[in-house]
Amino acid sequence: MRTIDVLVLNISALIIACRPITLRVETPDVSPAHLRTQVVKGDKPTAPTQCDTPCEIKIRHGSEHQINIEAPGYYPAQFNISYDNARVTAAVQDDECVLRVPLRRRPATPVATPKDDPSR
Amino acid sequence: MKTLRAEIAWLVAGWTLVCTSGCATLISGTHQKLDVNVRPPGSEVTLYRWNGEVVAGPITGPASARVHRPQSGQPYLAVASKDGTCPRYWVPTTSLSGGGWVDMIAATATLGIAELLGAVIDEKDGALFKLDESEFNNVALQEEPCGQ
Repeated sequence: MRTIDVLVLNISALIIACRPITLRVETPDVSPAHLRTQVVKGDKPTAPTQCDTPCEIKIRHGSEHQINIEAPGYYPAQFNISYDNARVTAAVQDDECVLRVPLRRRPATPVATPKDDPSR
Repeated sequence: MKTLRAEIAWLVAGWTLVCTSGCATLISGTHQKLDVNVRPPGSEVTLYRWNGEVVAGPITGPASARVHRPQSGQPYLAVASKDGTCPRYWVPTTSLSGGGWVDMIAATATLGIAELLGAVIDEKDGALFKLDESEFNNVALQEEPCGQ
């Protein structure tokens, strides 16, 4: 095999290994929830940086992000994920990189009726 | 002297055989003990795979639980929650288990030959990896407002 072939093969492998990972974020039973991301490590934000779930975000090589998910009637979810997390998940889940975030429902707050209101 | 050499050779061969059939699985096992301590008491911790499958829980703390090690090092999503408090989400740190280190050293020493099959078994059943237990201790859930 010629040197140039080996070089092309290596560069191709490098490009494939470092390609952005597409992560599909879902919030089971809650639709839609609003997702925002913020860069924690690296200088490349996700694409897009916000969307309504279910949606897909692209995570660049070597980056880490804070994920914020909010939906009315549910507690917000906030946590960090890295490119490596997404890469391993994609490999394990046969290239289907999905993150299902179980949001916790807020307890129903009793609505004050005119009868309950002491000022009346 | 010759007998000693033969014995050592048999020992190395035996060790290699053990390692090829899942060394980390024998040393560390497929599950690990996790001490869960979340405040306020009575809070629950649930571990999910990213596809939403429950790995363990809900574990009501403080408690010890047997949790499956992360297969192929896949990240989990941990959720600690209790009614009336803000839930806490995090992706637990995954690192090499004790058996995983033995696998790595054996792989290096035998240029990977001893680990050809063993590492595949160990990686698939999760024995190569462990969750960082310290991340499940002293987790404090905050009162409302959340996300401050």
